[in-house]
Amino acid sequence: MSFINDKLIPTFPGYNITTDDQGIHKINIEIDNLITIASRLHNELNFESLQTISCADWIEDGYLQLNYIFYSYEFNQTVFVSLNLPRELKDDGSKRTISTIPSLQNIWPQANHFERELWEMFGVSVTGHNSLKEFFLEDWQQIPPMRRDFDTLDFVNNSFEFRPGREDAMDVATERKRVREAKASEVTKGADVNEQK
Amino acid sequence: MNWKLDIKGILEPFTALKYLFKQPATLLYPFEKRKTTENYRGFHRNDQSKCIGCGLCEDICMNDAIDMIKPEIVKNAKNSSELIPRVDFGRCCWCSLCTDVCPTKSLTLSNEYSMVSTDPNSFLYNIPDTSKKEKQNG
Amino acid sequence: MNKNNQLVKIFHGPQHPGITGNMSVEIDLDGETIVNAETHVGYLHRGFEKLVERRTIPQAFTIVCRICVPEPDPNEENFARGIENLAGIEVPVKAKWIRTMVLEMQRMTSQFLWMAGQGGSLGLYINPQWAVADRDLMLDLYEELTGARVYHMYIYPGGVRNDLPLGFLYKLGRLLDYYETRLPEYDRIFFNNAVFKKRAVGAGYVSPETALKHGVVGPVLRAAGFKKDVRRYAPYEMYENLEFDIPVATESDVYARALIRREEFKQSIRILRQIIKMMPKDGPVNVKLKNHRQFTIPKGETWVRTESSRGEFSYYMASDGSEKLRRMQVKGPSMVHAMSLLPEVIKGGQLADVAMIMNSLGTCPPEIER
Repeated sequence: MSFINDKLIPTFPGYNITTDDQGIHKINIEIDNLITIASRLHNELNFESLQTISCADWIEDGYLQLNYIFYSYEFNQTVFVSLNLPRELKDDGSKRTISTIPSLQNIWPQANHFERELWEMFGVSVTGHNSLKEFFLEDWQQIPPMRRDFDTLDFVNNSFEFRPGREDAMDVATERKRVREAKASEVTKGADVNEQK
Repeated sequence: MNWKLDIKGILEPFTALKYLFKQPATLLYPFEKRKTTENYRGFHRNDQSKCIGCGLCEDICMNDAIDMIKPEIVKNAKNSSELIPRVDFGRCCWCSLCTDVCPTKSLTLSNEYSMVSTDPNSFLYNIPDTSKKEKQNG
Repeated sequence: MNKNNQLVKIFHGPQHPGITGNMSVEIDLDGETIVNAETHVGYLHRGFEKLVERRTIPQAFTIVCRICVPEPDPNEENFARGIENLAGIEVPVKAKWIRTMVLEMQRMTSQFLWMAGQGGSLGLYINPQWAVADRDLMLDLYEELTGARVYHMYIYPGGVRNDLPLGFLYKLGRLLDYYETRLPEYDRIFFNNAVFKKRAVGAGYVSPETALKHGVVGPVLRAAGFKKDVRRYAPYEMYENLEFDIPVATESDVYARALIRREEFKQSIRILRQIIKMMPKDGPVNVKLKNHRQFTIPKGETWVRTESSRGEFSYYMASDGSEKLRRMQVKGPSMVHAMSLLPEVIKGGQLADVAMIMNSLGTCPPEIER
């Protein structure tokens, strides 16, 4: 792929840049470099649009992986700017992460809403953002709901009542075992009867 | 905003008036009913003489709409758990994954789709058995 | 301003006939002129992204179509293609053709729905009645093909769920003939209507710089003079083999966007006619997947895009090697159009134009909140 050799590597020397088999280039960076990388992508390489900021919670490794997805109409190329944000929450009850990401809303206005969603759903702390207020949820008191340690089933069982009338449901595995044992005992009984005859 | 008099644009919409003299596009609903197509995904049916009580439909149902219950009579001797499915239509989304996964194709979806009741408990739906009807016909 | 020289604050929605679904626009008014606006959502949050994390792949596929009510199929296709990318499944050729056909049919139905909404927002109520009636004919075909009218749950990872019914392509061709005869009628009552032109020309202007900066997609971007379509620059399914034009305009107002959508409707007819000719006669339409508890996906991530009638839908998916997805993030066109573009566009405009502009930008709250 010439784009990565001609453009990305000369512009960002010293960064870990990979390309996967779907043609997505990925730049792995530290949080401190985010603003520099994003504005250089925007100004020097003409990546006009920030498509979205995706976030995946890798709870077993202890970080949130943020992917800033950029797309350039000029080169027809997609670039993921990927960073790992430690997922520990502050202990002051605010339910937001200790580490913060800088806001990109001055470069792309729609980043405002992407970051607001991350702030609400994953508890990512954002600095330099002008409207960090509730977005989808209303009066949410628990931990941010898209984090993996939030148990939806538990939440539903605690918040809602189930309609009665379905208690006669039975477990297939135990019933199957019971039927098999009943049949087996019948067979042995039958065998006993035959033997007696 | 400068705007010229657009006589054509003013008069042309009135050509729609000609539809006043055409047949209506709607049906006279209670007297005339729409025919659903053959593979329409409507209410469930279960051929109990084929149902083996495997519980795969209960397992794949993501809405927990299917319960396995004890029938009055077990019609299939090969029914390993002696249970049959029952659907909660308050939860069902008619995705028909349960019928796709059914190994003996005993569970199917019918063409019927209308159910009116004042009692919410009536949406707990005991799946009608089709094996009986076939015997009467045959 | 009221008599105390204060701005009047009103909420346009969520219970307002001129709003495109469950969202509201908080507007500061000076007389009839909009001084400030802000979009509020949160009336429809259903937590689909979280639900997908809890479900196995076949279970999750029934839920993605509900992300966007007027256009379920681009979502299904996106999800299916993402899973195929991650799991390395090769889809049969006929399934790809059927998918392309379903997507184009979907584009036509949602153009009808847009036409209904655009007419309704102007008080031209003949438009909703005609458009919804004509859309219903396409839904009849969907019913025959998939077994459902709105949420088809037809395109699933590995292909499509069943083969075309007998004589389906013939019926589709007949319906396209009918739609071609209907288009001049719509021109007469709607596209050439003097009242619509008077209202729409010049209203809701989006400058090309704003469009690029905000990451606007779909007809709104094309009306601002950019010839960009996912079907062309990142072709998926069978779009490489099909001929179609991408309409562009430079006026970038409500009227230009209406004409672009009309032209896209014609292009959809053209694409569907090619598909009818090129559809393979026989062949498998799906690959059989494993039992849903054993269908595991190797660890990886992917990003897939589909062009819907309102713009680009993109999904980010990450899998962790289990039978469930680790993360599925949906980004629909409305996230940008309704949240950051709409307040900017309606600022300085008239209160009566809000509904029309909202419809023209193609906002749809279900995909903002998921």
